Amino acid sequence: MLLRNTFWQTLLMPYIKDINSTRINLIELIKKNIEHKVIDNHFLGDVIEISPKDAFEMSAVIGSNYLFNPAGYTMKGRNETFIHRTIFQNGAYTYSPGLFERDLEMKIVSCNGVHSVKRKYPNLFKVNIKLVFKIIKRGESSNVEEKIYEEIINNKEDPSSYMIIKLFDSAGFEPVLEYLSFKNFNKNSYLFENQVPFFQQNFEYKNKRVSGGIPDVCFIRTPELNELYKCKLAPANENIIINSLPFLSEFPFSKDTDHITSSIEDFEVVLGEVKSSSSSLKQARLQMDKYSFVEFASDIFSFIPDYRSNNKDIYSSMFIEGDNIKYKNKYSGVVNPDFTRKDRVYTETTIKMNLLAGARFEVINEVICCFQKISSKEGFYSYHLIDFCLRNPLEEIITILDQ
Amino acid sequence: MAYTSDLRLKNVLKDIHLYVVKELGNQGFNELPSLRVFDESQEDAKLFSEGGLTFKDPKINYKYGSNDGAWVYKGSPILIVEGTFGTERGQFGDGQLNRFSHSLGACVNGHTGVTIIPFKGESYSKTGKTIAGMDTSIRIKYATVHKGFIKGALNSTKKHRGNFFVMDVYSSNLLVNLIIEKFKAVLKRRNNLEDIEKLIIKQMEKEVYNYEYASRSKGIIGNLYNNNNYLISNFSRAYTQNFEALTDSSKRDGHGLLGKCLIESYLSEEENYYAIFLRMSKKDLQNLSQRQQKEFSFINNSKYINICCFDDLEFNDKKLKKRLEDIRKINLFRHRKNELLREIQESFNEGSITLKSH
Repeated sequence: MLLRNTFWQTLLMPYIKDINSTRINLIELIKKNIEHKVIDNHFLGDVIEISPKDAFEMSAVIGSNYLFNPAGYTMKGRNETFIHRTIFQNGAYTYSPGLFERDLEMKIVSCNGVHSVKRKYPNLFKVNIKLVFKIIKRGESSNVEEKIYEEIINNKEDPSSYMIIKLFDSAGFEPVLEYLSFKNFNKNSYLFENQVPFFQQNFEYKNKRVSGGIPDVCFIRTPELNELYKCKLAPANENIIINSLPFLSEFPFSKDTDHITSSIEDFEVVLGEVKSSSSSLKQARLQMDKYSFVEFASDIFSFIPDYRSNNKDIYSSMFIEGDNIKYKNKYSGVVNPDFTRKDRVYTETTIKMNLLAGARFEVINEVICCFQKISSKEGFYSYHLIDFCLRNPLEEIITILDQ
Repeated sequence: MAYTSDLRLKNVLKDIHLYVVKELGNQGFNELPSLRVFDESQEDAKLFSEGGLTFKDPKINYKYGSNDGAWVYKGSPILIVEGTFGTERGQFGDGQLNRFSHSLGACVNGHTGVTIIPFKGESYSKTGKTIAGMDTSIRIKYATVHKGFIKGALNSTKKHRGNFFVMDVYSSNLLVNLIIEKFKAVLKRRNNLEDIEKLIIKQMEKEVYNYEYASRSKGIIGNLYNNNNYLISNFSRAYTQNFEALTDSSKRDGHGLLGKCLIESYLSEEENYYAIFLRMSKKDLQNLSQRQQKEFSFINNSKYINICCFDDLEFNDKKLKKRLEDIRKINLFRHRKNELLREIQESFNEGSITLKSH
């Protein structure tokens, strides 16, 4: 049950408003959207136990830090492949290191996939995680990881089974809302990302030079996902986050997942703009106008807790009503079929890169060097990697994961 | 929120901290340094003494740029780091100079500031070159660290009590060693700090060997005369920013101006450095001062930078003066005036544009 707090309770807690302008306790809203066990009387205050899967997704989407070490470790920002989508760059791939790391000589030397991360943190998917809600008050430092890490050790517990979610009482909650949009988007089989490669400036379309801004969230349905379902690498009855692709071989999906459903036929992109309050509605609309102008998404929505699309609105909306997160479909914009065709290739390449990072790096090195006819002792560069992903089918990449 | 250099950089700092803590633990240290790093950049902008990652000039009280992280022991800085992946994201030229003030703040205040950046980066771009045998959608432009940045950092280290190091972000072992040895020095334990610092300086010097700053620039003035035909500077710059460039939020050119101005004031060494604002009047400068435009106030109050404007110049060629006056309001990015600017540069060097004596 979502709590309606008393005045004094809400004064101490970050809150958002629903469409009736009712204050909603953000902590309770998060709890409502994940399976958890409350840990009573914990020395760190408000703490719940969650599954390794939920912990991974919260870390990757919100940026919550695992306490594997005193500085904290987040899954967010570790699987960058391309800065922009190819359709906005004359078909060019604007690659950046991130998921794959380079050395001084610009050779690729490692990847942030399951093998690399598990070598550092073997318990990544083995144990339930204790999630600590930490409210950062106005003027307070958010650099709290080390202090909490020490407090856990002083209480003779293992910090590596802990994660901190920071809630700022004087700032917006967009990353938390992005996570909630992922949990609530009303369809299955979507690939979700909240670090959306898009474009910011200088895209010429319909004789107009436009700036694009960056969407907060993106849901993609593409026939390439069928291959993951067929190989039982991912379940078809839930949305998955793009950050999980390099971890699929060991990703702890729920036991009751359904791997086979009717296959996805068409490519589709849905973009979302997230704001903490309807006071930012104007900025959200300006952003959505930009996304709409480039005729790329089949649906565009805002997620503003206290705003539901009205009759005049052209965009869809996700919003909070009472205890629930709801969706109102309104958008019926045009999609440029040429963009759909090209972005499907871009998305497939991105999926391949992410899946490939789930293989052992020694195997990746061997396979790419062999394909490019270069010495595996010498190693390979980023252009060899992208070229490899462009020229090999998804099925081929999946076989590499087993080696 | 899209991927930013900032997020990736902060993850790099956290990963480096892990190595630092592990190595110090292996060496038997019980007390360890902390890493000060924030989720939100607003916190970076607080002064270091107030728990943030920014320093101010001790003499003129203006803030330098914020840093990304710091290793701290008992509240005092061991090492302050600013970082960027700009050379991997299409930052080829002077844009890199914008960040000069960040580590400089630490250096001026007697600390060790380090800027980490890929010294050589593959910036993928639609205008890049294709690679033989590779898919044609792969197009690369190589970008390198701005050597003027490194040269400015070396000169800052000579001039101030602190250090301003520039290191390749992919030399993380060297950075780990620097933090560890600096920590030992702070604890007054036996250390190799001097050797590590010498090695870093040597690497920086190697990068700028035979490098001549701004040799092709249209703004640098090698000989600046006053109207008594007296040579007053061998290293100054004519700036093309107008009033709007520093006050219109859509242009936001102040950061670039500050970076370039600061670097050049260090590169000028013992020379008097003049920042000549070709497209601004005395009134414009007064307005900027009154508005307390952040970057302008900083350079206006620096003892190393002499500021002057169009009204301070004397022209032998009145037509040239008029031509310059006529471009005061135009957008120079859209309407390039390279030939005129080259002509103005030559006129300064020949002494046919001079600075009025006051």
